[in-house]
Amino acid sequence: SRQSARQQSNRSDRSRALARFRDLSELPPELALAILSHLGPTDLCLAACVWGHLANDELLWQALCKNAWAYCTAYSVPGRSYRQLYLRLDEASLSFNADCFDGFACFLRHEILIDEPGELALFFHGARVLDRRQVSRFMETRPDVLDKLMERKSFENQFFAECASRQTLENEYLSLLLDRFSLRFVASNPGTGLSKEMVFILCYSLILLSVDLCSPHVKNKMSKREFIRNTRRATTPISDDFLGHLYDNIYLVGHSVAAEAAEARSNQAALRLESAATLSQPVELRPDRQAGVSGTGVNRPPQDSGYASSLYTDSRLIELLPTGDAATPSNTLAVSTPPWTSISESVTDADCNMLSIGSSDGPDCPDCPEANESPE
Amino acid sequence: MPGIKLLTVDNEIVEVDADTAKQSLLLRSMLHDLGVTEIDDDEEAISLPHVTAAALRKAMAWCAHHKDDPPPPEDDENARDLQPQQLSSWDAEFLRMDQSALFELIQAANYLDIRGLLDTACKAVADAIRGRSPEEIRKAFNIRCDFTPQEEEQVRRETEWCEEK
Repeated sequence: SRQSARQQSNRSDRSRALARFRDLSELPPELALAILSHLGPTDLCLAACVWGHLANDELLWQALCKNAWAYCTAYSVPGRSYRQLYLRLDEASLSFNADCFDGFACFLRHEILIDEPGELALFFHGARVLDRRQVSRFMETRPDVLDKLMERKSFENQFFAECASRQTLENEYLSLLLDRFSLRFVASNPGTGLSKEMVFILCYSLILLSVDLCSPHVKNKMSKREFIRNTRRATTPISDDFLGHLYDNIYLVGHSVAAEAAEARSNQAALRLESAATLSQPVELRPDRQAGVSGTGVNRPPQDSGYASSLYTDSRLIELLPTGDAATPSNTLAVSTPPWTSISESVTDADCNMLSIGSSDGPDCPDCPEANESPE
Repeated sequence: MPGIKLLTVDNEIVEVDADTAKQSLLLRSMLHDLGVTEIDDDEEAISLPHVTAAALRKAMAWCAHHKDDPPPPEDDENARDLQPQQLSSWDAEFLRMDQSALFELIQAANYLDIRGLLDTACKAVADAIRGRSPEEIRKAFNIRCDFTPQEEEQVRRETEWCEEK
């Protein structure tokens, strides 16, 4: 009983100690850190004024760093202070968002990055705080980085209209990306039988469709039947059913994506397309970059001269597409008159083959299960 | 429902529902090891040397409310959102208590190994810190400033950048 009495007094000591806890620094450090890990950089810095050693913990700052910039070259340098690194990354990113070239110089100066395409692509792939417009400006001068960036993305088994619209809406460097996107999509999904050109054409038609559907300025929306009829002419071997699925998908998914994008004012591509549609403002499409892509065994028709154009000018998409002949440009701005009506001649049968999205891998697109079936 | 008896650090015996208790990974493995299935008057209470009765009752109440929750997602630092997640209104109301009780609960959740509660309670404390100046934090947590004015000034200068955002 003496023992139990001692046990009791031990217990009451401990319970008093537990009840006394008020301050973070009296908690076991792992718990204090668990609490602080919920704070952002600003609050963590302020908390450092109160709990210096806790809030300056390297693990906390490492998590913050990697959250905002998933990768940078400096992470692999041993003995780095992540807190200091965070401040530098933050400074350089702010500068990047004001002017990408100043910011890039700052990244290099602080030895955060080294100027190597693979490293830079990793960095841009994982950086969440960079201004898209500045990234786009930067990418226009660095096609080598953009190429590597595209390689990082895998589109395997994604419904392609979905990733196409997500890709393009999220990025300013639209046409640059679309070309590479098509290449990459075909490489990621070798079983679809789609050629790069087909993906490219479909992407543009879908982007225009999504603009048509969600832009408040377009009064007469394209109907499903019109869409199928117009697109069929450009993409002969694709089944009407499949085009119908695409239309439905854009109607349901693309629509909301674009609307959100316009609302958030962050996805400039959608806005640019929209303003281009209404003001017929030319949107630069950088033909020189497109020519720089080395085809990976994809048969592209001779087309070098055909790229110099801007979206929604008179000749519109026709010149963007890899066509051999100067097709008759459509002269209206109504989206319901598709500009690619004469594309079909230039897309060879071998290019088009048969279309069967994801047929080999089973359903993977929860939103549109039918799209995974191979249409007849 | 079978119940089990737990002896807390402040010498109280708390009877809890076994199914609820099993959300605590510590209790789950204890019950498994002891083979306890139902309450038995002869059975000695399981001793929990780091948990107060108040915290244990709170923790079990939380577990009872969250018993049908899906298991928490695997911790992935890369997937963490920049924006802090809001506590559910039930949790926020449930955790409305003074700092020391909250810290007690955090310790209990940690010792009993109840991930969801630990995470939620940590968020609640972080919410109390967020958006406050150092002076306000000290006031809220009852901390005496142990910086000299010079040190304070230095820290302020170092952290100037974050206040303007």
